[in-house]
Amino acid sequence: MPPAPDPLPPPSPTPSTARSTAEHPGSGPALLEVAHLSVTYANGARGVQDVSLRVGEGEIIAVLGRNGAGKTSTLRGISGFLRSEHTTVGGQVVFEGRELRGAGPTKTFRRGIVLVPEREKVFPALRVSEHLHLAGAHGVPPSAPCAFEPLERLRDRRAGLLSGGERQMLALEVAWRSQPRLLLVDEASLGLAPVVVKELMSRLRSMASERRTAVILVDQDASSALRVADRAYVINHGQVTWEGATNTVSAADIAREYLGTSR
Amino acid sequence: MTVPAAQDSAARESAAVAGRGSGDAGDDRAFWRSKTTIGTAVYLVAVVAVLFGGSQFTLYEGTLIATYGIVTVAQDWIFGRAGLVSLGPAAIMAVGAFTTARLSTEGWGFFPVPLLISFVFGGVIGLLIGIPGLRFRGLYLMLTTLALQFIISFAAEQYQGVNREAGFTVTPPTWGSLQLANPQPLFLISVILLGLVLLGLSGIHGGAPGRAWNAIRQNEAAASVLGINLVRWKLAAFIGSSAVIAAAGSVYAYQIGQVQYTTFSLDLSLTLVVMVFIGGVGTLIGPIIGAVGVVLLPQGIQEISNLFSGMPSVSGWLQLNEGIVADGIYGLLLLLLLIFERGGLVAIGQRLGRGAVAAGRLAVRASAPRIRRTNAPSP
Repeated sequence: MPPAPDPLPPPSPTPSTARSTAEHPGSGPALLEVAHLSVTYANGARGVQDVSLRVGEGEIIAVLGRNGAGKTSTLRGISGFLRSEHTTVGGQVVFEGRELRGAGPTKTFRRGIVLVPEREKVFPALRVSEHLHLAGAHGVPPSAPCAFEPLERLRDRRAGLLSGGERQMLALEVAWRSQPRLLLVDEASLGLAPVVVKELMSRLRSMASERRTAVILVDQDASSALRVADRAYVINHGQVTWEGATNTVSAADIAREYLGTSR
Repeated sequence: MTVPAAQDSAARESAAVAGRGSGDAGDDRAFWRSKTTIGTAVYLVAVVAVLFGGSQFTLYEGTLIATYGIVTVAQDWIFGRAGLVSLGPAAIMAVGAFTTARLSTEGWGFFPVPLLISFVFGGVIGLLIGIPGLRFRGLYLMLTTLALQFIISFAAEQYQGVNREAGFTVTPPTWGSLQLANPQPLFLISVILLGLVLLGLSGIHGGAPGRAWNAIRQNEAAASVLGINLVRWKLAAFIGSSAVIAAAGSVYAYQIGQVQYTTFSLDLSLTLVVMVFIGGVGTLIGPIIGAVGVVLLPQGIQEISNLFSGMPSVSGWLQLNEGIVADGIYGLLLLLLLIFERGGLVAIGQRLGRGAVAAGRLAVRASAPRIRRTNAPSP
């Protein structure tokens, strides 16, 4: 692998500590502020060393990094999905001004944080309409039109028979119907055709700006996430190694950042 | 067990490009509705037939089937709906039976009172089982519920030993001059209770709680992503099913008239659990079929041994070893079903039904002219 020829444009690699909101002009007060998050698994493995990030209302951020960089652990640390697994979560997770670290998934969900996990996000034996019923327990009536239109004609289909893209759509649709304040999407592009990903992402973008929903996209495929994100974080070895606005970098730069500069 | 059916319908949908696919679910629902109507009718007819045409013995067996049916249906709530495990239905029945026996002799015996208090106590026991159920899954949960069976058995033995060696005699309940523990009224009580349980559970399982349990059973993580409170729903399943099982234990106490800890053995627990799987887990009718099996199989063996009356050695052996033969048949049946049809006897019935419907359709199609779609590539 060739060494990274160009350094990334500023703000290039900064330590992930001591960052102030002043660095993000115009993004308003933070909806979610994560400071020095660390995630240590029961076997002593560190999923995340020290990750700090912030998301403003209506903002879409991309969290990028290669396999095992700590992206998913970060998301699960925020959403409370680590509590049952003998995992230690350190640092601060402040959502709408209140500390959420250590809260379980039920609590974070009630506060408006909704996770779309990477795998097993739908119930194979349930029909699409039944998924909408499940989501309907939180306000949106099941009969309401789907934000992802292709799902309309699939209402009677069992989720186990949907294609990968349709499943992803269903998972996002169900999450969306829970009316999240903050939507966490883990690897939305995994195993999907680029065309499908593009469509999903642009749909998500317009939905998020419509309702001022904040979105964190975790992805290995930098190009699709960067297209819709306002800002991006690159995580490497459990630490944020780069952050900045997406209009200042290209996907190739980012890829070089997380592939080439492990030092 | 749903997978083959699902694939089936997928194949049909993709084959029928003309777009008949969406009718599939509607037909399904209508089919199920008609099934419920037929089921209710059959139930009522059976009840009336046994009530007016049955001998004392038939009434006794009918009461037993209804009582065990309540237990197996409630047990399926744990296994087939919420995807949890509990191996101690007999222990929970014992809670209801001992409560009822005790109350009936203490001046609290006015009929529905002991039943209702048993129901409440069962719920409390369910809460106790549910707490480990929140921490453990699968094998470990199974072991904790097994421990409960032993603990309750031990407690009942001590309690009985201190108070009465031969167990507790249940004072028969009365409404004025009506002896409720007589075969007819007791049969009516048990079938009404079973009917209520079936009615209630078909509503619960068909509605939002059923969907929540279904989701939890399929994938706990994905369920909590949807905001389904795992703690609440798991506890609800344990509490509800235990309350219902304890109520059945109460009816059982009235029926046998004498409550002893030895009755509610691990053996009975396992038989009831196995019957849910033999009948068909995740359905309402399956566990009832299982309950019929629990009661009638020993009876059937008796009948078979009568057929061999010409050969006293065979019939004698069968009569002596009735329990062992019955256990052997349960075991063999369970093995065969686990290997060939996890859905139990109900799924086999459904297969046969689907086969008949498909054959009927084929016959209709063969006799009617039709337009063939060709697979020629479009220009």
